Amino acid sequence: VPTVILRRRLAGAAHLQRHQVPLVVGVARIDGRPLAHVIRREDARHVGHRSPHQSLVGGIVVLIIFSIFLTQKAGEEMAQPLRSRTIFSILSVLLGFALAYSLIYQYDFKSRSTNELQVNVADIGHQMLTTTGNGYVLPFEVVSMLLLAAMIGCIVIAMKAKPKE
Amino acid sequence: MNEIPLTQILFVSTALFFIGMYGFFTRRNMITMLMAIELILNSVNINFIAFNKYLYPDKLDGIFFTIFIITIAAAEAAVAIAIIINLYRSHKSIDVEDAGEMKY
Repeated sequence: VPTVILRRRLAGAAHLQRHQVPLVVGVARIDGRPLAHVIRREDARHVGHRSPHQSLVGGIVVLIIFSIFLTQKAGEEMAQPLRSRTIFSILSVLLGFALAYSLIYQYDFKSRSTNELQVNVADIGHQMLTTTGNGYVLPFEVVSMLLLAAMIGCIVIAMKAKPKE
Repeated sequence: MNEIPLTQILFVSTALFFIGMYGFFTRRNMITMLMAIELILNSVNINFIAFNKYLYPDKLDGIFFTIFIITIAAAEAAVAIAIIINLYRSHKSIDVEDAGEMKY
């Protein structure tokens, strides 16, 4: 089954490439739906328990795969990075890791309570849509506006400019 | 059941952060750089969940921060990929070194 889906994705990417359809088609389609098809075929019983944010993660993965398909020719002849840059980045990354982890290792983290963390989706949902106290309804709405703005921005950026007559 | 100490989880997230940093420094393919940024964001997510679980187990704030980071990362990836596709159309390349000018 996965190979069939992959072939269909490839055909879809080729179709996009051929007709110069803006990426927006891909973005609009993504929103979890292709992934949902994949999951529904493989494991139909657990689909109902997925939260929208899990499908966001799947959406990012599908988006990245899509863009790799769209720009596939460019990946072949790409030059290797400079050797000096590789060496310096390895050095800086190792130094940064050593510094950060030595700080973490010396610090003594103390817990404020001995309770076990109890997470269920109902609590998360209640707190996310509460307007009083520790509610997160304002960031929720702001993030929804951000997603809308990002979607419109993608449409505008990826739109093919019409040649002037 | 033995608890995993917080320091070990922080080790994993620090390692993930610097792996993403290394990928961001050395890669020239823009999509791979985007994946490196995703690695960095996910290491921050691991930190939030770990601190929530170990230091403040009565609250859920770390989980909310993680949820919002994931959402914002999705928006960021969508915009970045739209820009990359547009750049690929005009330059026929997704190498960062080729994207010297911002105007066309």
